[in-house]
Amino acid sequence: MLWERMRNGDDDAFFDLYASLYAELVNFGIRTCGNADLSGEATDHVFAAIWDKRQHLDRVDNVQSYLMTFLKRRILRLLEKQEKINTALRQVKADDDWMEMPYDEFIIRVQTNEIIQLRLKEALGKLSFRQKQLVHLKFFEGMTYEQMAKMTHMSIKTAYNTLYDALKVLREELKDF
Amino acid sequence: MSGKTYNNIEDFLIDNTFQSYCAGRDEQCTAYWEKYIDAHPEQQDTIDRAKRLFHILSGQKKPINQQVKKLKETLARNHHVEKRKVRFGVPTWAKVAAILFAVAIAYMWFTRNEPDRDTTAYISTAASIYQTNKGEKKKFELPDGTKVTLNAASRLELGALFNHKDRHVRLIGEAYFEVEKNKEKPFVLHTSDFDIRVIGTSFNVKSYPDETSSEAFLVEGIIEMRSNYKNENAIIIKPNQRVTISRESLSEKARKDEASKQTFKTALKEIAIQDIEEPIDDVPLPDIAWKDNRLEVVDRDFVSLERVLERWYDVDITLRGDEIMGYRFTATFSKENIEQVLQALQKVKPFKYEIHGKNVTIYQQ
Repeated sequence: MLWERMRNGDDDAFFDLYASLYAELVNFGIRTCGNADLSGEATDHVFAAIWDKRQHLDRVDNVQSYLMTFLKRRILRLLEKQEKINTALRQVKADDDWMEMPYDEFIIRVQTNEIIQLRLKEALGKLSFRQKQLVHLKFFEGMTYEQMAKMTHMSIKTAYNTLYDALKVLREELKDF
Repeated sequence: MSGKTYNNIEDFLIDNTFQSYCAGRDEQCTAYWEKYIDAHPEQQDTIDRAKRLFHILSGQKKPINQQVKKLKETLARNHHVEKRKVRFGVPTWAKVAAILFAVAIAYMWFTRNEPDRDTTAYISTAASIYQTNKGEKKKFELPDGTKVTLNAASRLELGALFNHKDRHVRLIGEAYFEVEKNKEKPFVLHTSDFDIRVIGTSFNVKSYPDETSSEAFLVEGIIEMRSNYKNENAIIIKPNQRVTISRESLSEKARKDEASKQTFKTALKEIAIQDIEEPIDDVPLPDIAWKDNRLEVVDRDFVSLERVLERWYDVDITLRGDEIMGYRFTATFSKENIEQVLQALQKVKPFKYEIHGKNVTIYQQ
């Protein structure tokens, strides 16, 4: 396990751990806060802290869960500091289950350009539920066609075609960007 | 990838390998597509649009290979890019000095083994060394009349020429100084992060190698703090001010001081100057409570408390459990032993402990 190797002084293991878990953590942050910068910052903080203490860390049974809790704590801290903590997250603690937004909500929130936000909203409005689902799973979560097919109970070919149609709509709507 | 034709944006975006390229997930995909782009300049524009759409749909995340590269560079320099505004609650002169100081300190932690000015030159052969072990606290009088109370696991070295032309000392750990006034012979304290030139009298310095920050707290008089490394700028500290130099360049420490009821944030993550209100009656401030055999803990998490307890009671503590490490405590102890301390802490947060001789294990319930 990468965690054990890292504890024993293998620095490459740390970077492998980072590469494998980074997306998951940042994605979680985006799904819950709708802010890519905040999420990236919080995640980087978690990993930098791990790096600093890497040889003094305890054994961890579930590395993902441990890092997730650490991340939540950090996100709350950052939101407090930025005075951006909204009522929903105010009640929540690092150990609770956090409310995640649906793809068509957070993917718009996370865009920093207002015009893109507008166009994206219109584009997503033209997609079917299935199409939105596949766009989410492919481009945000990074799943393979096999994984998506399994999750949505479609054939790979259907997933492929559905996604292609969705991309045509998106491309048309956002073609000036 | 092979034999396919790519015409429009969706043709690129639908492709597995192109997605991997945009996300920076796979070296081979990156190599392949970079070559493709070189070979098809006429499609550059379409491909750029495809990449931009990918960026939008993936939530504005940067490609992971770039992230890893950036992280490696960041860790190597121990320098974190912050987009937040610097906020100080102190007058402008301190702001300027502190910002310059902080810039110097930003390089400190990693360059700590290669100082510009070799502090050992001042103390090439230590004439005397005063030391305490874990669990000990000792008071000494130096040859010049200065009184030093040395906290647990600390060490004070006197320069060979101490009290001849000047008075140089080096501290590792924590000590409270009552410096004998002598204008002819300046008293200079060296720690790994900073030097203190004493113009006044009583102050407390904490500089443990395994802690994430160093602190100096002035009770009386005036001290001038100077960074050991590239920058010559110094900060002048006045009574009831505490300076914290954070070594953890990526941490943010918001400290609520019980006495002053003000909250200060560590600006630039490296240094903070806090004005502490004068103590009421005889209740000593947390910084120097240890001198009077009181252990004061102010909003510390278990990990940092663990180190303090280890030194104070001369034990080896093992913390087990992710949740436990995040437990925070505020407490005062004076004559308790380690078991009584743990029992008191248990009343605040749930955990179990076991003591075998000098080994203490703390774990989740």
